[in-house]
Amino acid sequence: MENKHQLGFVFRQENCIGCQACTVACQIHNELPEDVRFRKVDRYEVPHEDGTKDIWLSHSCMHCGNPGCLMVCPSQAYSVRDDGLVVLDRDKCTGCGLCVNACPYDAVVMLKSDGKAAKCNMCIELIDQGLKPACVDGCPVECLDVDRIHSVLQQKSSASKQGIGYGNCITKPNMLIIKERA
Amino acid sequence: MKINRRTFMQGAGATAILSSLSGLTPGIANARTTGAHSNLLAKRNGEVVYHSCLRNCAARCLLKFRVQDGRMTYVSGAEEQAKTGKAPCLKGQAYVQYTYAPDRILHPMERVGAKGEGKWRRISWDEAYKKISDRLKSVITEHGSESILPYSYSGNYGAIGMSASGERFWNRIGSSILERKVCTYAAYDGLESVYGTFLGPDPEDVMLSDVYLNWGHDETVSNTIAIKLINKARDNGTKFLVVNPQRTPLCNQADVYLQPKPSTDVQLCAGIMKYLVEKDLVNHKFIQEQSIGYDDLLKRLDELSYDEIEQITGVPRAKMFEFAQILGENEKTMLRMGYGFQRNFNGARMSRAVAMLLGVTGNFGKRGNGLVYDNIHAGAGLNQSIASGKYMRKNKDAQRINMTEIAKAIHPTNPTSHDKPSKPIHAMIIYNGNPVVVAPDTNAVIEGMKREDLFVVGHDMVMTDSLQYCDIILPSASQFETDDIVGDYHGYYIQVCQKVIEPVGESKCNWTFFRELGQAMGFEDDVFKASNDDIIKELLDTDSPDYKGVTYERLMKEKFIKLDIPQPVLADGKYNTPSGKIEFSSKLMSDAGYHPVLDWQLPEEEMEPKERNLPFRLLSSGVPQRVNSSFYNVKYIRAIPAYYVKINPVDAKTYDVKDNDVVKLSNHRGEARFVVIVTEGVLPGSLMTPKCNWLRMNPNGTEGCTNSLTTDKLTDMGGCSAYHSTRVDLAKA
Repeated sequence: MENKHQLGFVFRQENCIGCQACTVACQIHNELPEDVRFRKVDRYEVPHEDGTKDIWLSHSCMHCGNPGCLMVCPSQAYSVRDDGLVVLDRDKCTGCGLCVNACPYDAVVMLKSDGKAAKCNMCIELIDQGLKPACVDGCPVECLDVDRIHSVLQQKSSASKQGIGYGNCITKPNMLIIKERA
Repeated sequence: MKINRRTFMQGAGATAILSSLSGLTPGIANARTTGAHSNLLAKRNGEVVYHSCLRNCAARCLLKFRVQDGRMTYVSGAEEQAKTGKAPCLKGQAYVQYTYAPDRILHPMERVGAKGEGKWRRISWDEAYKKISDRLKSVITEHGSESILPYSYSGNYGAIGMSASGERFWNRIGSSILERKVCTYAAYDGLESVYGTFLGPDPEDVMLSDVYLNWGHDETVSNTIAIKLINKARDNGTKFLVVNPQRTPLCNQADVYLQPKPSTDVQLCAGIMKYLVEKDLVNHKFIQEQSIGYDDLLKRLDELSYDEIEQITGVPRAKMFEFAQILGENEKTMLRMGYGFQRNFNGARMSRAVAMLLGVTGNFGKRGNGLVYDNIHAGAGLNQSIASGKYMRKNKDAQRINMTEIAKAIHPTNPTSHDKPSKPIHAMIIYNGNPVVVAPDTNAVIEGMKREDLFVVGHDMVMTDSLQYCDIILPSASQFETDDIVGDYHGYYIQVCQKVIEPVGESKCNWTFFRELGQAMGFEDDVFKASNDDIIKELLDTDSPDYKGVTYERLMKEKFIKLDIPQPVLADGKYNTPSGKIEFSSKLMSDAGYHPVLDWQLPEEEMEPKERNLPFRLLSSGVPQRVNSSFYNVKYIRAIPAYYVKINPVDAKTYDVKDNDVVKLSNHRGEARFVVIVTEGVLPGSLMTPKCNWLRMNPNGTEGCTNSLTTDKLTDMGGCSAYHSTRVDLAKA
């Protein structure tokens, strides 16, 4: 059953310049250790006309409809909110690491400081105030957003769960790639 | 079940993942992921203070700082400044980490032991002032005031922090004059030879343009916030053309992208103009009314065939025609020209050729038209002459040292300047700069800095590679620890920089340092008693018509003011050239010894044979996560790679190197090690490595950095640096 309130990241991949401002904005807001990144930016060099071109994928937790992390967690540390955000209760985490392996999107990391898992929770303290998460606020070229997946799919014909480096899968990820220019 | 992310990537047609994120020391984990953690929001509370980013970057973001109990806690873009918006680039967002960097120097220190040995003793500011003023006085008595040299440039772009503060001292003392021409000057001459100015239209008018043409600029590095406006224009149908020998991020998004071999821009422009002429896409009426020398241009274009152009530039003619067609068939083109490509031995001549494109298409004098290069109206309109105390200088003929040639000026045995012997330098004060890794020929700079008879004072926030070779080190306050104002050099804004916090530790801002040093020297002039506020008022007391209606009170209240510069620029068809028209044939160029229309010479022809015959041309560009030598120590940023070299797959195969290999680049100046990225982002025969990286942070070894390799020979005109006219050899390390 689709969650009509499901929130997800909406990414205009055609405009991303790979600057990593989103990564750093997230680290600053969440006061992360320096070697921990909830949001990562990968460069892909893809075939294009005579040669290649660079495309960037900014990605973090996909807040999946069918989250792998939640399914495998033996201590039930993961839960899904009404707005579809997948959150982790670090007090319950035992550090077994199963979730790290279960996530197809490399979204879960283990913190060296306490040996427990950690991941993007879409800055729920901001979401709960009607604000955007730090990565969205931190994108200088405005190619990253958060919105209700259902309505974006209705309004934007180009919206899809397919992009360079990203694809739909059994966990039902909730990031959309939109194209404004062909 | 385990679904590997690589499976998706293959499914999506990706060929390579090259983003590697290196691990660093673990910090304290504050991250929690359940519930709404209001503790993460606490840093967003507090008083709001406005400050502008003072980096050497065309963006000039207006920033909003939150301050609690005297401590800066959070920074965001000032969204009410439409150009800035809510998000500055990642560097701006990391200003709290920058300001409170754990390696900040907190008190003055004096060298004990040999130069560069790294042994220091803490001293007080009073002791420091005494030692510096005593030494400067004895140097003046023994060698004259010209044997003292300032070294500074763009570490702080504030009107006071960059110019007024130090200049008051240098003009009063009568030091040698430092020509701070590292950046834009070759193109000034090139552009002026065509249309009499380098000032351009309001870049926000790109919304009105049919074509946005980016020639050799990388907005990702310096002007990230402009991209959102360009994107909006493109969504409205504006076409996007790009030329760059290095594939910048925006090159990948262009409608047509041309990747010429480095410095072959004159030939490429000739090819484009040749096509425009042949297809009759030139603006005859405009050419007839507003230009001279068009027939000379036609003759010159006939001298070069498409075969030759293709061979020299490496750009397939079909691509070039496609590019030219879009340029020619649209009415309004805004051309954004970059600062990097003119840093070549033929920099002025290339810039001239680029400007001529807009001449033949008649892209001047309408809104949405014109060439944006260095829109310094805002800064130039300030009363810098009074604020920097020019009237105090008695030796107006003091020797001039070009900062690009700093190694030559402080050479241990044979100091020269502008290819002539110069008076030896015996004292130097470094502030807002880091010559060891920013100036070309790092090893030669270090050799000079190590001279026992050269007294060097360094005023900086952290232990840079240059401070290592100082006699006295002084802690500098950050730009956020003092009041200032700043003008844009892309748009037309003048903005406030209000003191956010008190100086950290015993640090002092530039003006406090120079004011107190002046007092220590015994200068009793009133100018050495002024406060920052006094200087701001002097700066704003200007006759510039651009500043009509701008008052101190208004600026402090409104925080930013867009200057009222009549649009469109160059609307009257009158140009500040000798003929008053656009000059396709220029006496300025022939007087300088070059072809009056288009000059075909390439940088290689000017290199000494031992360098000319090396296999690779080295491009050393800016990268988005750093500005010149700033931000290398900053938490979250220092982990993002900046010691890599991009190499084309063809060359990678020849040299048997692959991603993540460490290679050594070398020439007669030195060597440095970098991690390989194999990409078609550079052409065969070219390499790209980030500019101005530090020696001591190089994870591949501290024996070298990018500028260990680069040339300090100046450009054809304007006395500008020519970093990119450098060739290197490559070997596996």
